[in-house]
Amino acid sequence: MSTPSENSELPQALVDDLRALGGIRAPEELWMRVQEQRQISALAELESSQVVRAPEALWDRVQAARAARGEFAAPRGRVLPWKQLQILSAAAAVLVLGVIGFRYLGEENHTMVQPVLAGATDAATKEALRARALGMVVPPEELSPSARTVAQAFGAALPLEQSPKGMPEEGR
Amino acid sequence: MSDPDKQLVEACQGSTGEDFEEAYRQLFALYQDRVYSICLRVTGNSEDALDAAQETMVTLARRVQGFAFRSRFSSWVYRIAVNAAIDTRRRRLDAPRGAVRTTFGGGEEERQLEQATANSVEADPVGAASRQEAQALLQDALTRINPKVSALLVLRYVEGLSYDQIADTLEISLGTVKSRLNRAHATLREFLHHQGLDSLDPTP
Repeated sequence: MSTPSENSELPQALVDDLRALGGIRAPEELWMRVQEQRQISALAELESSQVVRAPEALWDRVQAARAARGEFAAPRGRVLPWKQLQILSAAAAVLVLGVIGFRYLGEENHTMVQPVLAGATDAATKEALRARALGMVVPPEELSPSARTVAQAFGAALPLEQSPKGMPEEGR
Repeated sequence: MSDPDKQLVEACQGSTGEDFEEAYRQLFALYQDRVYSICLRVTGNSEDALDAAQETMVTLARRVQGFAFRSRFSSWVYRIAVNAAIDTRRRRLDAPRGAVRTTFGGGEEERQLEQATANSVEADPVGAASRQEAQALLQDALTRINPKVSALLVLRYVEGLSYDQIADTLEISLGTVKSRLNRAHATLREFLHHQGLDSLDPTP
């Protein structure tokens, strides 16, 4: 414990008063509180070591209960579980991406026809290549009246058809 | 140097279940008063002292298995108690103003102080009142100065630890203990002077 030389820094009366602050007994309550806290800690450790996953049906049940309480309108069909919703969402995303990709590749193929035709020198080769193409360009004047109507219905801007000479124009 | 608590600590370390509980109960009985006393003097009120002492004893139960005797066991327990008391006091100061209890002198504390000094002052009632007042003022000082400083003064004077034991407890060098104690003395004297309590410190 303390040696006399170590006690010389403060006046003895002050040291005595400080020493008199000791000798306190801990309240009985302390043991109970410590034991209670240890039990709570032990239970918390036990719980954290045994994590239980909720069944997937829980989502359905919660949604059904909420609907029954009027928190939101009840769905007409069956409420899909969260996992199925995820799968469906992923499938829809793949479908949309597939359509976009297909259209993009279609554009690519169409533009590829032109270099092929440009490379053909003689008329016979050009005709043969054109015959293999899925579609071909037709000048407006070669379109039949019904074909012109269909083209205009799809928004094509076609020049007005020339009236045959000698025929009176409509409305005059 | 052999640790006086070695046998009891090893009894805790080498046991489980009921045997551990029995050994721990003995350790608890050995340290509960000292731990509570440190916590009460550093925090300044019985409610916070109980919180800090509880935290200390729970930590002791949880970590005694891993204690490796690199320091004295008592120093280790004191260190946990001092840290718990300082943390509790800081949390209390950070709490909303209405919840702060910085002054000493509640009913329970008065009763405990009376009990602590009763044996030595029964023959002199006037002196007893004077000493109780002085102790209440000193406790007030310990609660108002920096908690690290008050912890140092409590270890040194209230618990009567030597410089070596304080160095072991706070994990600082002997030289640091001396310099910090010098500053702690100066802080306490300055506080008492500012409070007009020079009578507690008769140094000219």
